[in-house]
This record gives sequence, C-alpha cells and structure tokens, in this order.
Amino acid sequence: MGLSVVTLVSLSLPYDQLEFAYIAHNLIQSVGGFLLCAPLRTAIKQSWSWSPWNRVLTASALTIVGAALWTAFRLQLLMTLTDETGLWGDFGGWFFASLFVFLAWVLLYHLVKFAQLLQGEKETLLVLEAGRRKEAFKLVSAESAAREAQLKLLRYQLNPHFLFNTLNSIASLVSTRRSQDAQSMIAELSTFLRFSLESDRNITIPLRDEIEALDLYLRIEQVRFSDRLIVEQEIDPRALPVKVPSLLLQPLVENAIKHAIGRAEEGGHILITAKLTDQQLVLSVEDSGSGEDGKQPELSDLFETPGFGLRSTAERLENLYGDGFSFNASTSRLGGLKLALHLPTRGNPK
Amino acid sequence: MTQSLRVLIVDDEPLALDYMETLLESVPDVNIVGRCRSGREALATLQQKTVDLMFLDIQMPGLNGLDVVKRCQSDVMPVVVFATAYDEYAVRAFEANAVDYLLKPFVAERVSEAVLRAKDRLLSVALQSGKEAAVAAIAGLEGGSELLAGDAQDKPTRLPIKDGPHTHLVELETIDWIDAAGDYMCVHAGNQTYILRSTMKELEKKLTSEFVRIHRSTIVNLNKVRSVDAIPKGECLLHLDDDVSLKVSRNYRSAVQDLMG
Repeated sequence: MGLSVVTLVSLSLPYDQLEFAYIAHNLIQSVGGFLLCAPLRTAIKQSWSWSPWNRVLTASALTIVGAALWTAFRLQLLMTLTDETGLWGDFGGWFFASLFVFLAWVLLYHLVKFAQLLQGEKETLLVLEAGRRKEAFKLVSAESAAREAQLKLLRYQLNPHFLFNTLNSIASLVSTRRSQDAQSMIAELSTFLRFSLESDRNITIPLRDEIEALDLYLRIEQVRFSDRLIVEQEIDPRALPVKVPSLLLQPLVENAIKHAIGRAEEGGHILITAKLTDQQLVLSVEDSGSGEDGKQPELSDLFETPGFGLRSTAERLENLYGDGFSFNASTSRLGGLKLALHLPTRGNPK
Repeated sequence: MTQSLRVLIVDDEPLALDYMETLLESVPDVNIVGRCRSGREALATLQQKTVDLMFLDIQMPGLNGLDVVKRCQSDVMPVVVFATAYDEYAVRAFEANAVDYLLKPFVAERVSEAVLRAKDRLLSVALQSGKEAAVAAIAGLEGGSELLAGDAQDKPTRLPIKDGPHTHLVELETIDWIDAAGDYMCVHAGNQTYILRSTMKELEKKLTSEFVRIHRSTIVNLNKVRSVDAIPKGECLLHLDDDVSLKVSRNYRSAVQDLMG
C-alpha cells in the first residue's frame, strides 16, 4: 500500500506545478488512489483461489476499472480545485498514465504476495521435514529398544553357564566314545536353542509345546546333574491345549536349578504342576531348596532380587493379561521355594 | 622330575569329571589320585592324600571352588588350576595373579599346558604353598583386608581386621584356625574366612597363648580341637567342628603333645 502512495506521488511530480491548488490536487488524488486500492485488494484476495486465467482476467478488469475511476476522480478534482475547464477531452491521456500506475500496483501486489507465499511454503516444508526426521528418529530408537529387549531376553535364556557346561558335557561324551548320547544331547541343545531363538516374546503357545521345550531343557540339565537332579511333573491333560506365553516356565525352572539344585550338595527335587480350574490355569514350579540356612532371600523381596528374573516374568504377564493374572512365591512343602502362576483361560491375551 | 604328578579332579558334574580324566590320561607323568564331586569331599581328600595338582571347578554346590581354596590348610594345598564355564571376573583375577585356569569346554592342549605349568611351579623354590597365588587371586577378586596397625589395643581379646572403610573386630575366641599363604593370612572363624595382608609374625603378636603353630604355615586355636588322630610319619591330624581337619607336622608335634595326654 505504501508503495502505491509513493508511486502515485512520484508520478504526479513531473507536472511540476507547484501552486497550492496543484499540490493539494496531487495529495488528494494520491489519497483517492490509495482508497481505491483497498477494494481492489479485497477483490484480488477473493479471486486468489480461482484458476490462473480467471485471475489474470479479473486482475486486468480491476486494473482498467480502477484506472478509469481514478482518472475521472482526478479530472473532476482538478477542475473543482482550479479554474481549468474542459479537461474531459484529455481523458485518454490521463487514463493511459493511470493504467500503468494501477498495473504496476497490481503486479507489485502479486509479487509481494507470491514472495510471502513462497516463504511460508518453505517454512512449512522445513517444519514438515523436521517432523519427519523426528518421527524417523523415534522409529529407529523404538526399533533399537525392541531389539535390545530381544537380545536381553536371548542372553537371559541362553545362560552362558548352561551353554558352556553343556558343550563341555558333549565334549566329554565324545571323548568317552558315547556317540549316541552325544548325538542326542546335541540334538536336544539345538532344538532348545532353535525354540529360544524363534520364540517371540509376545506370542502364546499351547501349554503342550511349552512343556515339550521345558523337557528338552530338563533332559540336558539331567545329563549334567545326573542323580543330583530329580524332576517330577504333575500335568493335568486338560490343561495341555491352553495357551500360555512361550518360554514362561523355563526361566522359573532354571532359577530353581540355579538357586536350589545347583547349591545343594545332595542335589534335590523340582516339581512342576499344571492344573485347570473353571476359569484359570494354575502353574507351579517348586524346589527342595539349597540346604543352606539364610541364603534364601525373603519371599517379599524375591520379586525385586536381581538374578531371580521374577520381575521380568511379572512384567511380561502384565503386558499380556493386565490385572487378570497372579504370580506369587511361597515356601514349598519340598523345603524350598514355590512359585505359582494363575492365568486366565478365557479371553485370550492381547 | 621323573616322579609322576599326583592329581585330584574336583567337579560336581560327573561328565565333566570323566572328560578331565580322559584328557589327563593322555598327558605323560600324571597319576589321578582322586575324583571329588563337592568342595567338602575335596577338603577331606586333601587331608588324607598327598596331592600335587588339583583341577578345581569354581561353580559347585555347597562349597564352591574359591571356598575350597580359602578353607584348605595351606600346608596341604596343592597347586590349583581353576576350571570355569563363564566367569569373567574370576578369569581376570587369575590372570593378574598368574594362577592357571581352564575354560569349559576343556581343550586337550590347554590341559597338558596346565600340567606343565604346575610342574614348573612345583619345582620353583620360591613357592611356599599352592595356596599362595590362588589366595592372592581371591583377595584381588574380593578386595583384601589388612590387619589394623598399632600395638596399643584397647581390648587384646579382639583382632581388628580392616576391610576398606570397615573394621571387623573378630573375637579371638571365635577364631578356629589361621594359615599363611604368601603375603596373606587366612583367618577362619566359623563359616567366615578373612583374607588379610599380613605376616605370620605380625599376626602372632596379637594372638593369645591358646593359639599354637602346628605346621610351617598353620596356627590353631587349641580350644577348638575336638579330637586328635595319629597318622604315619610322626604326623597327626586335628579335628575341629564343621568337618575341619588340620595336619600337624612332626616338627610342631610337641605343641599339641599336651592335648594327647
């Protein structure tokens, strides 16, 4: 708008008639032009969303109409302010000049508008790009967190002691030429490793498969511990098809072996049970203890005690069942620890 | 040294024992004198038989390998080669103290190398007992303590053992026996073993008269002795509570003569 005023003023100056009437005429016609620009601006804004040709036509029409109105206003004004008369005959010349002023104004207006638009678009693009980068970063960090969790789980399942001791046992069988035993131990270890590697933390499998994987693990441990490990299972056959999170029992049994059987000089018992009540699957793992006094942590602290891995099991169940499960520790009649899980049978986990 | 090496194998897993035995059979000049499936069994065997080299598993139920080293009388302690499946901290401590160790699964070459090293160790005059290097490694693992300096004690019936910022005040009457392993002294009180940096002389100054020397590196609290057995070569065996047995050498036999009446 300011630009239009300057343009109009500068255009009027070459007339060089520095009398009061002419200066007044110059100023007033500038103000008039300025006022005319306001409806012009509104009209151009209105046409902004139209097709380019329509916009060109509209802009041209507005320029012509605006220039005509302004020329008439200027002529009339000059004749009113001064004693000059009969100027209407010069309308063509005045109009021609006005046309350029208005054309310049309309073009300038478009130029500024386009520049603003371009700038805005650039900013929007930058914001979008930043957002996209942030999203990508979030995605990557989420992925790496998931992968890390998976690795942790894997490392937890593949207890290095278990792995290296088992390899040592296999080497022993080979060295004493018990190739049949060595073969079956390698097969059991492979099947167990494959099961661990392929099992997804979130999937559920029938209890039957879970027990099968557990048996593989136990057979390997049985070879290592020999007569020091006695495992009993009381599994209700009706419970076998019920779905449970994969590798749920194995860490619990591994705990019992690590903290009870592995510490008791005379070895010990592990009892694994599965029962089905009307609404719940009740699983339990109990052991005969370590035989060491005061080495067993307090039951209440057990879920916080590192190395027992009970908290991670509880967290996993929380993700799957919400409040619909219970997981508790008590003293077993065998002399050690009893871990009991109550899982809902209806309403499959998420 | 043409005499064969007397070897004891200690592991809780029968297969691991079998494997080590098989591997040792192909190493020349090795005579396996025993196989033990627990730390307690190993300690008893070491008092009955003379053993030059012991392959000792660390992860065992009851007394683990490190407990066995701590509780074994310095004077009957053979050279020790530790065996472990996975224990990076222990391995680091062993490396620092030049104690040999084997990782599971065992490899034949490493086993014969360990035997050779043990032979060298046994030949070296500097070595006082097999316990020396092993105890140094355990002290490195657990952070060794030391005897609180200063002769003026407020209570001469206690032994002040400084363990970092802690000072344990161990009542002398609770101490069963003490043995020396190189730069360290092992003070055994009930189920606890304190490993502290000290010399036999320094420690003896702080002890009362019921503590007597029964071997080059062993001191016993006579009040804790439950029975005495005479064994060949003029030696004898003292039995304390908790299945602890200690050998008395001929040179120090007079110290316990009174007990036998």
